[in-house]
Amino acid sequence: MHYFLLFFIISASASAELTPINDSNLSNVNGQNGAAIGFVWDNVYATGEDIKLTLDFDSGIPLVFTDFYWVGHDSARKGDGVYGGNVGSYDDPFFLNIQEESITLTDGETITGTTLVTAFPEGSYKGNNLDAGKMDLGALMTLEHASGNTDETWLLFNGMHLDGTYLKSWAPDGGGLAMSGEINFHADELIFQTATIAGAPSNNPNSAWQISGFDLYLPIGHSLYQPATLTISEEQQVIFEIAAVNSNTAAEFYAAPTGSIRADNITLNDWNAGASYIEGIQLQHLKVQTHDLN
Amino acid sequence: MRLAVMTCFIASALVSPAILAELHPMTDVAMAKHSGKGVIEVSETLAGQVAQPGGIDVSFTRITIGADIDINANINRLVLGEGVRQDGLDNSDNADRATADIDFANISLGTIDASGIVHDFKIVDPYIEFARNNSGDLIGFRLGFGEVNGTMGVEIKTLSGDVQAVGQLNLGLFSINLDSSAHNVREDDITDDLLGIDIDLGNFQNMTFTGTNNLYIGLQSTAINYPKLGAGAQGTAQPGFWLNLQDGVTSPGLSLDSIIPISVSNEHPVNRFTGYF
Repeated sequence: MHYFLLFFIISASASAELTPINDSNLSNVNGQNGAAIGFVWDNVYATGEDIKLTLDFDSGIPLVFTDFYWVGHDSARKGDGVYGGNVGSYDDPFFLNIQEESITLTDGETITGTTLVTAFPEGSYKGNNLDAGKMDLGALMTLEHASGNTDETWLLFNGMHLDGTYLKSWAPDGGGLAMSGEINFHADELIFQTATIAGAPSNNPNSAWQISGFDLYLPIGHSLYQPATLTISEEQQVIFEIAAVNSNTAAEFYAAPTGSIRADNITLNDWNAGASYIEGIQLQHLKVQTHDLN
Repeated sequence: MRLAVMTCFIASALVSPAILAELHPMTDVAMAKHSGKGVIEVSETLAGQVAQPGGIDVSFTRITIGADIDINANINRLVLGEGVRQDGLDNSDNADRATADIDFANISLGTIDASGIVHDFKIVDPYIEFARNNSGDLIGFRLGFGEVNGTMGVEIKTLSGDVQAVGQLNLGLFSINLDSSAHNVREDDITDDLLGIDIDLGNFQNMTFTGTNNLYIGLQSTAINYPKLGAGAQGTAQPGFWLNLQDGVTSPGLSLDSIIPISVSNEHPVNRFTGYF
């Protein structure tokens, strides 16, 4: 069994393009809310034809992922025809930011804190330069059953972006690390396609589960007043929790945007199931705790 | 917020030829020294182990997340399979409700009591399961739960699935135990097995799950019998979206609304803080 990592990230720009900002230009830049840094991932892609990720389970059925790719939208998935995509632009970069926040609760208490924000740009999410921000992501998933059966499925996320997704983190009173954020995920197509190990995925929807026009928007907690935490219990189990809303935070919580999931169309094999959607998702409390880790 | 500094991210700073040169294949001996127990478990049901409609061969692969999930949430609307069904089936006596396989409104998972205490809806071991025919084609998929406990509020507009719930109809001087079920595509009624009359599914409103171990939502391109979990009943999932809910479900909403006005027991469970509706 061989494992070999081949990972390319290529920028069309060269390091020589970077020039120091002088004092005169720097003095024209205003920061109202702490330091921030922006990034543009220019012509970025990654392919891993020889990467093999194997997950072994007690049942003896390994789950194997191969043929990874993360390339520009509609690019070839391997070989000379591969090209990259852009994550962010100079107007709307991927950025890290430190900002001061405060919120006044129903009982008059004001919570203040400094949050570190990591965010994908909102530019594409807002409808600007949408195609430039899209990427294609995929891998071949193989299940090697104890019976000798082998299930091979291409997982194909075409025309996806995470624009508008962000994660905030801060140090709450009482210690630890608190987080909140929003997931904004779009994909033109999500395809789960039966495959043969040697074959590239085809465009035949009759052998696939295909979701077209997929959008997910989900707030995960809210900064300062509804923190999400990730901890390890004394029994060495992982606990992810979004704090419960209470009467003091309810006004802010119910005024916040609600989550939604939408698929414009879903087909399974030759069955067209039409559109599906979930609207108005409000997570008032969530606690996920593993019980099999040891 | 204005960005104070903007810079171009140069990939060569992350990955250089020198770094790539440091990567080496991991040997089997080295790999064998690593072990761990994960929260994900994969299991297989072979073709032929579960009898299928029409005698077709179907194999199943289930991926289970070993976790306890306590959740309290509100969802305004859940619509699955909206549009004209490919097989032309409808089965609704109320055409304006038959626009989707499953159409639920005002879903609440868990409750909030008068003291503002949040009571969660509890889920154990959620799983996804894939069904394949003997050609290896994916013909079905379901999201299910090893066990659920708690209170759920829901306004059912249209249902495709197998649903069975028990309740007690209070008639003043005496009461009748009801055991009602629905087993069809795009239904808006549930039929009481004792009285043989239809009850509007919208009456459920408030359901309690106790050790329910066969709750799932599936999507199939052909009729499938999924493997059973636990002792609860489970019928054949029909093409399209399909809900199975037949074990450990009680509802005070099993009222004969065509005869008796809906009682107070049918009210939607409270899952918002006072003043926020």
